[in-house]
Amino acid sequence: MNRIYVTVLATLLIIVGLLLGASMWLDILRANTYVDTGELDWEIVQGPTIWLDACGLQPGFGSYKGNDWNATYLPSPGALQLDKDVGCTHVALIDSDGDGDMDTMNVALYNVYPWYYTHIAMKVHNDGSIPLKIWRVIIDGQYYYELNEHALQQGVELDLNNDEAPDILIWWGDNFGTQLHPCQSADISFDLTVLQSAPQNTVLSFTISLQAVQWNEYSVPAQSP
Amino acid sequence: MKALNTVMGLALAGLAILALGTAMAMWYETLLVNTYVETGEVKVAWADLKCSDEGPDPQLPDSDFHNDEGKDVAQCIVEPEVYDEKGNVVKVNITLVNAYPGYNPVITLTVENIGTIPVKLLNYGFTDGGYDNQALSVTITVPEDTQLHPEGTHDITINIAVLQTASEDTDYSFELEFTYAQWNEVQSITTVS
Repeated sequence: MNRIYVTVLATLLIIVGLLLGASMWLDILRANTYVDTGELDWEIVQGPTIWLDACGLQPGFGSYKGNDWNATYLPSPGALQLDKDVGCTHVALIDSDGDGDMDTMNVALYNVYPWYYTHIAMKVHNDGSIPLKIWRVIIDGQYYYELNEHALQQGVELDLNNDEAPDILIWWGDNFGTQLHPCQSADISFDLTVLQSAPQNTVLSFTISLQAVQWNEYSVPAQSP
Repeated sequence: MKALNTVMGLALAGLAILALGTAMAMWYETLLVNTYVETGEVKVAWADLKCSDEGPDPQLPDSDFHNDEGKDVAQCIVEPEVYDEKGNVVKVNITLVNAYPGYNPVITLTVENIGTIPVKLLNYGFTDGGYDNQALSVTITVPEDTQLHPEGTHDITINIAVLQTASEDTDYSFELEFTYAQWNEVQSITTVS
């Protein structure tokens, strides 16, 4: 009998407790939060990308003719156009990540020879919504944060065929760290000179990629690789 | 003899009626107590809304992110979303536009007790599944003592950091709920998720 009383009492207490809990006076405040992220995006603009001695140009003098250029003044800047059309330069832009923007450049030098010189210029454009800074250039997998910042003779020599002898000299018109706000663009150019130790009978080809970072993350490693 | 009995009976009946009449005429007075119970109200509202991004974008502290140039790239918008029948704000909308890794605004929401009964924060937290912790880091800070007397206020802060692993061009959302109850029923705050 006592057990029945205890059970009934406990049940009643639980019900009362539930009722009290359910009837607690409350008021609720709410906050909805939406975070809409932006986009870091840039591209090599196809139209303004130009280069000297393009393959297919008719022989002749001038920037839009096919006669070769010679790095006559090396290590000083500049070149002299020759009276022969022997080699040529071809540039192709590639959308490496399939986002619709050209981000990689493939350069191929045909039938060239020591002191052959060419100049490639491009325009890069911030088509995203976040300010960016031009961070580094990747040439055949190698990262460069600075290329010959001050003097031509400090240009980077590249060994394209891995024979431990430099094949071309690249001098980068410095734009590392340049900041681009959305819709802004910048011109970037670089010179190429074929070196004495370049291999004969070889198409010299390499790939250049440009990387930018959002402005608030820009930093240059103490020692570039 | 029969007549005497009749007289006696009438006399007794008369006495009885007199006694009853006396009883009916007893002096008395009644005291009345009317009781009115007027209940109070547990009622809170968002009283003030602020965001730390009022110009240059705030960046995640103690990190490699920096905004020395004072750029204003992202926007933090905090505005009322739902009002009660008396025009008090009961739901706010926080929108971060064009956010990016390192962006770290702090939203301060002021709660006011607009009722008549002291309240305490009973529980708070994320509803509807929380938030994407691969993209965001969200920290809610409430006062140590959450008791609010009528007309009293306190601040709640929501610290939102966009992480490096957030995706570009993406919308992330989460909902928060803060439940206040009368002070004498709250033992401790619980967080819900």
